[in-house]
Amino acid sequence: MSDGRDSIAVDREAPPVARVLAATLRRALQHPNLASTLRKLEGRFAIRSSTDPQAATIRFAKEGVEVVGGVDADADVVVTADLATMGEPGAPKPKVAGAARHPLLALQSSKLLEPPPPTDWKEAARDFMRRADGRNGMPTAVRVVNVDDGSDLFIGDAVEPELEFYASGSVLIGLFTGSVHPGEAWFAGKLKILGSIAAMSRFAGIAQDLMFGQ
Amino acid sequence: MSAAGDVEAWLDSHSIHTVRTLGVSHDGIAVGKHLARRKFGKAIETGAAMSDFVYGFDLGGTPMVGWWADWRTSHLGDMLQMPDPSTLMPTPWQPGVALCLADHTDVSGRPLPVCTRSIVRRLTEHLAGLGFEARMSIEVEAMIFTEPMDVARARGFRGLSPLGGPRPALFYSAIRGHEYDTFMSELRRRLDAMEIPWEATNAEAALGQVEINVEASDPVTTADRTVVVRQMFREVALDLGHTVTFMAKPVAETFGGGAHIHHSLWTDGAPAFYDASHPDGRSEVWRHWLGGLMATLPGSVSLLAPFVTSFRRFVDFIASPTTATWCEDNKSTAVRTITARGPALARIEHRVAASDANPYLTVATVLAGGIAGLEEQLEPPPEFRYIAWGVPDHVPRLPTTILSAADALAGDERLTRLLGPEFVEHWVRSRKWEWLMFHTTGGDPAAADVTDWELIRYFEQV
Repeated sequence: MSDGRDSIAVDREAPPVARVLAATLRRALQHPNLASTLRKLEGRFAIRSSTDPQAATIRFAKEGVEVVGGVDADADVVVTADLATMGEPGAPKPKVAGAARHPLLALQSSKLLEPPPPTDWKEAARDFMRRADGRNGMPTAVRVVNVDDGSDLFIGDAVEPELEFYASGSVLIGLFTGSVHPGEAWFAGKLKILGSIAAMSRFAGIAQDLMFGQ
Repeated sequence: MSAAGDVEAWLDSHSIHTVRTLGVSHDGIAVGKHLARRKFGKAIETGAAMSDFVYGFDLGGTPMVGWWADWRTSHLGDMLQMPDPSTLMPTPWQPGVALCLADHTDVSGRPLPVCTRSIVRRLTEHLAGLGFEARMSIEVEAMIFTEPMDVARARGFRGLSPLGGPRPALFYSAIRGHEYDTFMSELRRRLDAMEIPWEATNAEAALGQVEINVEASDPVTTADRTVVVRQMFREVALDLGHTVTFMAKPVAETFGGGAHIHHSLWTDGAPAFYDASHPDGRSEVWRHWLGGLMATLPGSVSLLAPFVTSFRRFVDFIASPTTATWCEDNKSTAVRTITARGPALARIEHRVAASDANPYLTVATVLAGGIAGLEEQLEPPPEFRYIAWGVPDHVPRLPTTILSAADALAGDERLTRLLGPEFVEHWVRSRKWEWLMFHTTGGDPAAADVTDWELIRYFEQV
């Protein structure tokens, strides 16, 4: 059964962090258990960056779910975390305020914001390419290499790949599920690429659009 | 001048051994090289190579990714800066050195679609094809601080001392003008030497703020002169140990900086905005031109308020427009018409542009809007005969953020057609990139004051 909360509202002026959260909630909706959780939740759950001013609030209500920029003054639970490393192995533990008064909201929201990622990076890559298919600027073919074990995957119609990605399995999963921005990962050295900057740039645009749920 | 012999003769007569070229990026950032005289001679023919980083990097030094246009090379190759020898001007305080404005082309010499000087040239020709010449002048406003640039940088551009003191002054304050005069007289001296016909300078209302007006001219010359005047502001500041900025709002609690553009149309030497047979002097050409400016006003804002900080200027009651309105001799509306003072003075003042706007884009935006109005015979909305600040919600507003303004431009088919779809796509994408960088690299959307992110990114660059 579905209701109005199957669409996650986000304002046109919403900051990137709110858009990413909204897209994550939309992914959560694809898992029946999480979708059921989402439909039942009520309250305001906020996330604030510990390293910069980024912040967003998720408003769970009977009428629907809305994600807005900033921390609502009456947020029930506020999580403060390093958004750049959150979820990575060894990342600092987030600080949570309000969990004692709203334990269910804190727990369930956290689950919603971490929908089970594909455990197989190849599955994630194939799924990404399916979702991106037909978008302007999409490479005709890509080769993806997991530098952890040297395994690779070729996707596309052309004989030669337009882009080749080299990264660890965890970065590849993040890249293809929308938690890792390809430009940032490339500049930070977490992702290595063979290809033209033109093809890379267009790919980054598509990945970002998917990341923001566009 | 354009013939090679003329150029050589000019260089000889001014004993020039080095020519500084000056073009601007889409953001309006002046870029150029010092060319040896013999290299300058070659560059007039074949251009001086530059990386297309000029159009591919943001103001924070990060390559912009997310889109790619066919005019860009696939692997960060070259573009050319093509000096326009007709703009050669001496800079006698630097003996043997001249300055020359430039266009940007690809390696085959074709103007880049994002070269804003080339866009102005094209629109000027377009307008000539309709039988009109435009005469324009941009009011240049700047804010001067007494600290030298290295001190300002070390302080993160905060806590600086405005020239003229820490309190706002009345507009045109004569004593404040005197306090500014060591700086401004040096600026005027250099402009005189470069044969840039400045007409007036005065103290303005914001902290450390001055204004200079230059004689009206054709669109390309108007923008060229504005670029040079701004460059001279920066150089005089450096040479006198001061700091200058064209940020639209470097200090929150004061007026912002604008770049109002006055303009009129002429045909066969006669003013086309004025028609003596109409009681109010308003000609049909004026009406349609105004109709075009108003129809493209929402889409224009992105081009005239290019950066995150530009939008901090749009605040009621402090001299900046906030509504999509026009009125005769009304400085609270976005467009102020001046037709009642007779044919010689009949003109329109477009008041939306911020002081950080690219002068070529300011000119191009007005030309494009006006041309659309002439071609489609657009009618302006009713005149807004009220003060346009503190008005009810039903009065149409200008876009208030870099993102909403970019969306408005993306949806403006007239501006896209006339400015060029490749330019508009690059511009809209780069504004959205700027929005992304603001949010994800330290900007604070909730801050009431100008943020450190804005000061570091914009203060000395825009």
